[in-house]
Amino acid sequence: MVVAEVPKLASAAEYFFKMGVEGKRFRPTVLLLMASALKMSIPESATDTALNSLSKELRARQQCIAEITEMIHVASLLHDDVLDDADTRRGIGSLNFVMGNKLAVLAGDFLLSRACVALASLKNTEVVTLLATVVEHLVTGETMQMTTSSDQRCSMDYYLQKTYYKTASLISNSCKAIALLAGQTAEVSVLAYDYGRNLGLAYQLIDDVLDFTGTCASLGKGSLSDIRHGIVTAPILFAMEEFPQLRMVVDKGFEDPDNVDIALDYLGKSQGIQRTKDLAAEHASLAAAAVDSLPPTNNEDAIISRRALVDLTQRVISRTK
Amino acid sequence: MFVMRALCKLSSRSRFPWRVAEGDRRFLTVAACSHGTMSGRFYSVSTLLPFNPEVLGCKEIYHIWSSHAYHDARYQIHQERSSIIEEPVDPFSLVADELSILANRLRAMVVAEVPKLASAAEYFFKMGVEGKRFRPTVLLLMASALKMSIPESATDTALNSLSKELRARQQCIAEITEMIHVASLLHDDVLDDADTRRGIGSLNFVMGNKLAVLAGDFLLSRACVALASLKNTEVVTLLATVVEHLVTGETMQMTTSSDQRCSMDYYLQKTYYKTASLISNSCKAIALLAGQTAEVSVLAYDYGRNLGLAYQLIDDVLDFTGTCASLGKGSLSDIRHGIVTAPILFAMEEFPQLRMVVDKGFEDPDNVDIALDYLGKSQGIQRTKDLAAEHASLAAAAVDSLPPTNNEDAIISRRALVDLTQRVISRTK
Repeated sequence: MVVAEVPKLASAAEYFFKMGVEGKRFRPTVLLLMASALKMSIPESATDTALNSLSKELRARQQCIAEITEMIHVASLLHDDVLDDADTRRGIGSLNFVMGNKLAVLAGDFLLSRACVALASLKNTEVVTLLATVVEHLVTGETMQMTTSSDQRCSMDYYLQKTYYKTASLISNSCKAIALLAGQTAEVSVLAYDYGRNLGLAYQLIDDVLDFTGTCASLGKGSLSDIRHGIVTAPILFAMEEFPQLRMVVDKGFEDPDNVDIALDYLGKSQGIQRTKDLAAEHASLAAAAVDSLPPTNNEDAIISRRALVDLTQRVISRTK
Repeated sequence: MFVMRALCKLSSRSRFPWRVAEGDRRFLTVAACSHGTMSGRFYSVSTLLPFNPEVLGCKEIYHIWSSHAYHDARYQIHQERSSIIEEPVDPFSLVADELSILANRLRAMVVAEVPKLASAAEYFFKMGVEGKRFRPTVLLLMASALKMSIPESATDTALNSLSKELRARQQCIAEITEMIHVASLLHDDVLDDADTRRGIGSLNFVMGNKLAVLAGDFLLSRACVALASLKNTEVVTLLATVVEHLVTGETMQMTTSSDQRCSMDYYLQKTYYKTASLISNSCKAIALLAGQTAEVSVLAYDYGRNLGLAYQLIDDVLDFTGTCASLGKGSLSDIRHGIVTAPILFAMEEFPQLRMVVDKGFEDPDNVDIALDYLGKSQGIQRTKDLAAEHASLAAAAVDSLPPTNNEDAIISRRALVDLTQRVISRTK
């Protein structure tokens, strides 16, 4: 779907596929499982060709959602990451470098336009609106992160809202789209949405923790990339509730590595890490509950897939990497 | 008053609604809405028209004159309602009211939760105000031009509401087109700035860039939502393809090999992608929404495509020749950015040695001068103008080939669309 006429654009699209291969294929996995989990009728027999072809067509459309979701995700990565690189490599402005940036922006646009065409082919207005809104949310979330005031930075509400926009909106709205394509009721669509939303939030909260604690295999030291970029995440926000003086440290900013150490010190003394893990576990439970609330089914694929979706909620919060 | 047209230096074509006075003063008639028109491109005056928001919805006629006796352009606002009846149609006055409604709707559509994003959207509206509102004008005129039935009477409410709904949907196309256009500008221009301000990477500067990219994405997403609301798959596909074309065209421009740079075919293809695709496919979308046949949709597409190409070719010429009022020296921004346009390509056909000059690149200003020298000796400028005129004719022919109608709006709008083709090629700015 992303073959382009112009060779350079094609190279950028290859980047997209490398990303897809190296990435965890997390979102498409969730979406395809959700599609299966929503199968209501008993499995069609091999001779029931009309039903079979209908369900194959539905499946193809749902797969399309998964593809579109990946395209939107990678487009947003291309747009965000490259400009962050510009941030960190300030001053190194070779023409290749700038052309790399411009090409990345163009490649992101290209992916977005292909996603739009694919969305149009589904001939479902609500789905198009849902996923177009996701792009808007991604933009809003990224902007929220870039342009916080001091109060906003230290607000858990603001942080969770931003996290929803940046991380959970894509997966939640795509889950909802999967349900809509399957002709499910509004209630079921909301359950699918809830699953995605809670799973996404749980995922991000654990991400925040891991940024401080790193992997089991390492010596317990995370990459600390969030805090070094001045991004205040849930563990720090929880720690600030216990140690108000941490607020002043945060306000100073984290360009000074000593300030980072001071903040880490407070964090270590606080319950910040644990409370974040607890919050993630809460959201994981809510996600599992959403799956369990789906209408009963005797479809074997659906039963297995629902079990898998619940299993995913556990993996998300117990991962160490 | 029509006799005085002959004195106008711009053109003596009868389709022009210009009015001119004797001597060295030119009266130029435009209808202005509160959001600017294409006027900035047609006059040598450098001052902006004053826009009085209170006259929104009224058809005012502003007279502007410039005199050779003065160095600065002077203008005076003069209201002459009575002359509207005698005056041949001006394309922009026909749609001025609608354009202002569109602008307000656009403003509402791009309101963002986050203040910084809202500021970027404001930039969009500043662009819209200062810009020429060219595309929405064409699209609204095309919508009117495709009206087939006789005008509905006031009592025929069902037909009336249907046609109002169609109009609203076509206006939506115009809004979407503007959003896509500005999104692409935000993405292109800011990164070009990054190019020219190489090495100056303050955080504000980078954040400005990132915000511009995000704002462009935001506009694109709003455009998608608006597209979805039209519930017409073919239209969605058309306009999504436009975004792809914009990207492809920009990439073609950035990544040319030496052979491609010197190829007229490559240049015209790139120009189609970058400039003409948006307007041609939106025109086609307008026709599709109106339930027109495939043939009519293709005519609408042809009009947009040829108009867009003519516009860009003249743009290329003006980059070398500048405005009438200046000393004939254009901004030369294309060639300085290493972009080889139609005049140079034509000149290369006459002077093969120019090819070597082009291959050296134009970072060295001396090389620019050498190329300009060849250009001056060649027929490059004239041939480009001729090609533009060809495309303008094709555009006019497309309008003339539309199925006959007795709808008065349609008749006037078609005349206006043809008039536009002339304005595009005779503008000096």
